[in-house]
Amino acid sequence: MIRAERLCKTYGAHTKHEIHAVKEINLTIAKNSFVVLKGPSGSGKTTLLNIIGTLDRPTTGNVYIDGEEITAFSDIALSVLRRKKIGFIFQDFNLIPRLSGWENVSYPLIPMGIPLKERFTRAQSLLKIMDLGDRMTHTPEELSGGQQQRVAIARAMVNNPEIIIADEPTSNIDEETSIKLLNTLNELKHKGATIIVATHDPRFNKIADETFTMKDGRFQ
Amino acid sequence: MSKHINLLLLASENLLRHRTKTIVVCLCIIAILSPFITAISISEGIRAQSLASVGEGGDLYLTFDEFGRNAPVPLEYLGEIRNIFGVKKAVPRIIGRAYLQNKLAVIVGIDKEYVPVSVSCVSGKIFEKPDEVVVGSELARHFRLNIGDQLSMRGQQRKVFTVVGMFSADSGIWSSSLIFMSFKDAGELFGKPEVATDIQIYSIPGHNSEIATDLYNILMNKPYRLQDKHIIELFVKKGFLLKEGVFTALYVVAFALGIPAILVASGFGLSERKKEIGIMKATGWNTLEVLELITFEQLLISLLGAAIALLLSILWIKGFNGAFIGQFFIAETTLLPKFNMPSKFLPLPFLLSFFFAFLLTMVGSIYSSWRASTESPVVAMK
Ligand SMILES: Nc1ncnc2c1ncn2[C@@H]1O[C@H](COP(=O)(O)OP(=O)(O)OP(=O)(O)O)[C@@H](O)[C@H]1O
Ligand SMILES: [Mg+2]
Repeated sequence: MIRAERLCKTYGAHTKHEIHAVKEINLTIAKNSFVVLKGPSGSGKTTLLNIIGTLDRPTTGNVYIDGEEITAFSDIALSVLRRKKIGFIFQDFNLIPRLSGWENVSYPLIPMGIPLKERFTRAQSLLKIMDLGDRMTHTPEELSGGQQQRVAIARAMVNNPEIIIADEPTSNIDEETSIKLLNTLNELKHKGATIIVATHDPRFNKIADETFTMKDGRFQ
Repeated sequence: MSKHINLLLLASENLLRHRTKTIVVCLCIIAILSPFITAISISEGIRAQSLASVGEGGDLYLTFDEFGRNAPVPLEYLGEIRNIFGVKKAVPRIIGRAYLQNKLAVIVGIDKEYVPVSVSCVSGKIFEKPDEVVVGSELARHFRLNIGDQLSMRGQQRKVFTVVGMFSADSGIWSSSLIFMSFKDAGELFGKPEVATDIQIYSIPGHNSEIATDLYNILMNKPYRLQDKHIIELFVKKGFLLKEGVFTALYVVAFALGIPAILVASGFGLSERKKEIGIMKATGWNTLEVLELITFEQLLISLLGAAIALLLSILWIKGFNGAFIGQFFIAETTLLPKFNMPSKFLPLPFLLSFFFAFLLTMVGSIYSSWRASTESPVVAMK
């Protein structure tokens, strides 16, 4: 279960560019639910997902994951949490340049001490699911936006995370692949994962257990 | 364990992936280290040769003292010295300089049975009969001397020598312009048959102080000077340490510019690296793992740089005879005939160089990596 209490995120505090991207948000996400976050551009979806996904710290407020107050975690403890529980799909992919697709997917496995062969087979099976079986050795520069997106999705699943956070995962991919991704996420949910997606894509409405709409850093 | 192996392998892949940076950092390391390794190796080589020749020499050196300088010892005392208890042998020598046409040669006159073991003729034999000489490699080459050729010194044409042997080029700096002959011939050549420039005394261990007392009684009231082998050794060692020290100081100043170059080069592509570290952190890497990876990268690059620098130094010394750097240690290289620059590659200077490179590259990279890695992944990925 994920719980957030009075989350605030302020950028550029005490400057004339001060922006309150997230304002006093309270939220509870049940284990094994599919949650969709909606809202216009600039409403704070990415900011909120980053905080829940432990990639950024809130200015004030607390986040609890499975009862633990992760906002109080040390840097190392957060890394452990991310490795064990969280898979993040970024809005702008964030692939490592000049590394091939399968290397990008298996990069998180390197510090876990998993040998090369196993890393390769794991990346291979995930990329096949993403229909990228023939693009394994292509670098991000050699892939289209949608293909990069799918590599990023495969990477987010490589550690079998309990929580998958996806920031506009279908914004760069076509209809057909979008539906495939939808089904994949749905399958993961049925296997026990908690899915949190920020998206404008109406197709998610049907499978969402709960939908939050953001505006100006708040839920409506 | 497999984690560390993974990280080490990844580090080497990263060096390949960031090829340009790797090459630039390596070149900086090589430019800084290779003159250093070359200089130290030459200095060690010369020192080893000097100490070897001191080591072969007598345990005590006896000369006279005139105006505070070493002066010849009259031979009349030789018999008495040989009879001192504890003296194994006393070897008179004449060391002087004479011109062979336009070239200055060092003349060493010593009796055949006392010729140092390290002196080995490569071609021919050691002198036996009067007026036979062994010549240094460079003299032989310059005057195209062959076994059986005759020569005489400028100003002393009445004495004609026959070349019976020649030193090899690699038998040390000192022998390249040397002419070896019997003690008697040298005395006649310089017109001083009654003296030796010094007498080397080989002693039974532990008897040096008694020998000194006896010498005092023999040479009573004469201005003589007795030097101990260890003092000479110390002197040689000190001289080289000083030269190494001076070189190191000069070198540090000259290459102070190179150090920022390494720092800058190891910080190349920092924003790309920062983003990469952010991504790693976001996907579950922890700070220690990131830093371990970076450390492995610097370790590998320093090892690579230092190894290439070592190879280059070997090439520099063996291929170019230590050009430019050798001059510093042997002031007269340009005046001296050609010789093979002595060198000795010891592990310690190499290790020091490697650590130096490692330290520099670490300074250039670890702080920024640590910063990137302890920041929120979101900030680092920006
Ligand atoms: N690093 C930052 N520094 C300053 N302001 C920021 C930063 N990141 C986001 N913001 C601001 O915070 C607000 C919320 O941004 P956020 O990226 O969370 O919106 P979003 O809902 O994800 O929008 P989009 O749908 O376009 O992705 C925006 O006004 C944005 O300008
Ligand atoms: Mg966004």
